[in-house]
Amino acid sequence: MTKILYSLKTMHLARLLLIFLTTLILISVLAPSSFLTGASFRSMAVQMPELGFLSIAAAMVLISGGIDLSVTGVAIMSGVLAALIMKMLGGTEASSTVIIPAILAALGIGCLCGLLNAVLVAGLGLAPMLATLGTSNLFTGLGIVLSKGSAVTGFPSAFQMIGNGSFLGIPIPMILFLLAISGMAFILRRTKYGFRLFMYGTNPTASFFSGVNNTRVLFITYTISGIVSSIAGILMVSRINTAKADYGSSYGLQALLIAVLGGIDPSGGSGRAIGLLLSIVTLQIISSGFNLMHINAFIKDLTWGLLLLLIMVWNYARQRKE
Amino acid sequence: MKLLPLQAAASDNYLLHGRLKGYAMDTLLEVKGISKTFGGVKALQDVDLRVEKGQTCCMMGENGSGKSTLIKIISGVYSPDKGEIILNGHTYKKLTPAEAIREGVQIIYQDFSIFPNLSVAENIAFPVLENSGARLLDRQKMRTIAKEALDRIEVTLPLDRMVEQLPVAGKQIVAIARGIIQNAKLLIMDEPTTALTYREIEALYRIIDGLRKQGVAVIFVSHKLEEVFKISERIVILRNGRKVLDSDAGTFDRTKTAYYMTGREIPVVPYDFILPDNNSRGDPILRVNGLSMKDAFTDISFSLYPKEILGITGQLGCGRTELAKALFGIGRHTGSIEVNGVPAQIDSIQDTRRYGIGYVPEDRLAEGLFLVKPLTDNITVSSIDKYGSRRLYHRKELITAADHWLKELEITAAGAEEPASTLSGGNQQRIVLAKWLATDPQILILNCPTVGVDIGSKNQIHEIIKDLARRGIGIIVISDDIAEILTVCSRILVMKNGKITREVDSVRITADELEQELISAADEET
Repeated sequence: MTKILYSLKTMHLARLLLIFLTTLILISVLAPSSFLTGASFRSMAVQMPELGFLSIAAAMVLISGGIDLSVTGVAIMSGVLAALIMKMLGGTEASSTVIIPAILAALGIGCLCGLLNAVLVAGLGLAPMLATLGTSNLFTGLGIVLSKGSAVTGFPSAFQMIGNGSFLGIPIPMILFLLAISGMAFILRRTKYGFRLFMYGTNPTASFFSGVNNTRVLFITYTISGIVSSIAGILMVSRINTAKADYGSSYGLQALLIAVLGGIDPSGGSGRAIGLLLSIVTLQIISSGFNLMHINAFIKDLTWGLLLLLIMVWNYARQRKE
Repeated sequence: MKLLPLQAAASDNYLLHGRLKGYAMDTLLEVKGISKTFGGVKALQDVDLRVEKGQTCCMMGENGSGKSTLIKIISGVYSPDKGEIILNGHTYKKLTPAEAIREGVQIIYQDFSIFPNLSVAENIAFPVLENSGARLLDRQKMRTIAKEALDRIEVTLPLDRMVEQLPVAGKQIVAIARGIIQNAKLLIMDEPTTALTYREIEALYRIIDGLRKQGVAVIFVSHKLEEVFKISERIVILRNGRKVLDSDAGTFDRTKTAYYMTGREIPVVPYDFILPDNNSRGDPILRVNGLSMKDAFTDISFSLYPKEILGITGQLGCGRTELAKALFGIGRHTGSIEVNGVPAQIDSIQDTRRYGIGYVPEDRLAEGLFLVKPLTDNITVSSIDKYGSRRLYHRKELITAADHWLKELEITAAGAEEPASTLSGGNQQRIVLAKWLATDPQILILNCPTVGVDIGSKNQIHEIIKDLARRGIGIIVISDDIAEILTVCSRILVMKNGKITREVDSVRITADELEQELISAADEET
């Protein structure tokens, strides 16, 4: 049985790897001249991290057996806040040091948003779906109010470097994302918090009776989710040099789907960072490949949806067979 | 195999006895040579069973002995690989659930399969109306049908009350009435007394007795010896998919039950611990003084000494579970608790862990285990702070600890990385025990430690508990299983209505006296 469960887990990873390789080869064959170029990989490495950070945020909460629908709301509000602070402190002309308070404020608000979710879920006992649906609207709305509904633009060049610069030829967002996903892997596999998170996600009642401080686990989880979401917001604003309250609002559900495709069990208690990484890389390849082949963006969405359904039906069929 | 002659003798005896008593010997159900295999596991092998009209037959066996499979074959849920089922003279090779119901077979499952959000009348009358083919609901008729069903078992229930508002016993009555009104000739009840109080059990016995007089046969699945002898005329014991005993209850030697069920002799060694006299006993590890919790218990005081096993018993709702939880830091209480002679502030489970108190909950599956997680995680979840550094750990350390406990408690498992769901009830319970032992507790509170555990593992768990006490842990066992309390505990507290009404050494009270004590508790309550 363990072997089955283990092979199931690894099966899922193996399947993901298979899908990943298939798409990679398929796109390389179909559009070799444009896909297998440094430029196309660079553009993927720039686009992927934003959604990647949101997926990490969503995945952590999914492992706890909850759901965080407010990840984009947090990203938007943090991005708008950072943008406004930089604007206030001088905009394009300001010295590069103003990005420090801006980033700290963005991370701080992300942390506060996470704490608010935690208070609603762990403190008041609201259903995570309802609590975060509410706060999602609240955060997005605050973003709109703060920015007065218009685009905020014009930041010091040092800030634009975060989203557009590169180090040793690797885009900085990609480096940050790889660091974050490694951090997630470390948290899940090596920290006692990670262990408790898995136990809580599997059976909250049993973890309560086992002496796990459930409230604490939830507070840490939602706070991590908030902070990680705000990093996505900073990256987004930096890359396009604009903060806009309605930008990237469709990312939230995509982030959830990426997490599920990556093998994070939506009922809680299991999931691995490596699965998440494979899942997001695969979807980015499909997305970029379609762009390069000039395939309609709507077809792209349709393909994503089909792929996700396929994977889930596949998983389900396997589990039933066992 | 050796049992065969005895078994034959027992059935002969039964027939003779039955005739003498003058029962109508019309056969209602006959099962012949039934075998059933699930993926290579022989669940039933060549089982014969005969039930006469109006007979009460008790079926016993350990978990996995084939009881549930046999019940499901009789009710048409499973079809047998070999053999035939004869109901009211009609022979079936394969029986469908609809055919079984038509022949009058009704099962009362442990969860009763009722609709909690519908009324008593709707629940009882639903199947009758469903089968009548009528497209419109006739509310009046519904009430008439329900009333008639309840009258037949001589019980009154508020017809318009939502079933979810009824106590467990009420839900059970609804399920029985629903079966009866569908022309039940054979009622199969799967461990019907598990969640009932003594008083409710007595009422259930009366219902079953009434049904017997109306010619309805009952197959009663049970773990509890006492009730088996009280209610049934006949005892059937299954072991490893075979029928090993079929005997008249009157001539059956009850001391042999464990032997038939497990196939081996299990010696019962009572726990002998004598509290040292006042001068040499030292400080108790736990002293509870005037502990009260609103709507649960009042003014509870007792002491627990090292190496002692203290039993707390009382019927369902007497406050025993709330008391156990309060000692474990759940719920708001007043009064004082001392650990090792020092006042202890116990307001959360984190507090109790600091004082070395562990709690094994009653509901193993919901409150004790992480079923899909490996045994390693299940065993180390409460002691995770002990391994590695303050915030980090290596999985290897957890596996080493888990391996140690698997060996120590003789837990049968293919390995520490197996999920807990693959274990039997008895082994699962040991995993929950191991979880707390891994925290080095000085006090263990065990709430119904062997509920739903078969008789063989039960005795082994009792031995483990005694062994832990001998090593110096103070143990509180909360249970309504009288035999368990008497064999495991050295001292017993009886609770009624949230108060301790009697304290007695277990050697000074017999099972019958203790049972009387509990039943009288029930009478005073009403």
